[in-house]
Amino acid sequence: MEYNLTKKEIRLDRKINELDRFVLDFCRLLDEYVLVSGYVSIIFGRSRATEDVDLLIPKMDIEEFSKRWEKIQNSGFECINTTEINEALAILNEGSNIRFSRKGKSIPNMEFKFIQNDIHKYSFGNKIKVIMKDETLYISSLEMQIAYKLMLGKEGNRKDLEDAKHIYELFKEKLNNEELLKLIRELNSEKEFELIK
Amino acid sequence: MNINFEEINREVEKNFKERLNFIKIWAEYVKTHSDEDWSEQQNILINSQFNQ
Repeated sequence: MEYNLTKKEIRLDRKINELDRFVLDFCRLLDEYVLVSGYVSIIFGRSRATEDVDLLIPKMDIEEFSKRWEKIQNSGFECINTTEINEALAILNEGSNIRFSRKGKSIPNMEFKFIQNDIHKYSFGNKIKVIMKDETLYISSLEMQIAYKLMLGKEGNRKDLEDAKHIYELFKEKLNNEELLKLIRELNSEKEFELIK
Repeated sequence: MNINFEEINREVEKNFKERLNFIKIWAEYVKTHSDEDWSEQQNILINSQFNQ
């Protein structure tokens, strides 16, 4: 694994598993997106599985969304929540998510959400390119990922604290510590950081 | 049923610390071994979720 800070690029030579295959096949259908939350830990070796992968995309109008929707439906995926495109867009516009899985399956699924708050905007604006073999994925900034997972850990969700620790331990020599501490302060997660560092 | 919740909470805390310690050890393994090596181990866990 090689993290090039200047290029904001990580090269991974990992063996592809079924979850990676699902994510790579789905993300290939999108122009702009960022993967966030649990999968960002898992792609770098966190020893746990997951049933869903969180993905953020810029807001789009019905015309643009229709093109994307058709492409997804024609590529072996289906929306679990609804078969109606207008309903799917309405769900997204109210700030909720829709889920896509391979046709006839429910797990794994892609939790698909519009970018709507500052945390989302930061994750998208500071995304990192991950190159696996000859395929590419975009993931959230690692500093934000750690801070965000620590914030979720405040609710007592230890899985999130463990995800944060995995990324922190793996990249601590390469992280922008000033930025990490700033984000942790902004997300009121100083106590949780003390637990995992 | 006589349940000692304090004892259970202590166990839960202890288990959490042990898990954090394992994550540190595993992250060190990931850093010091080839991607192919650690991912092969991880894939057993992940692929098993989808091959039932």
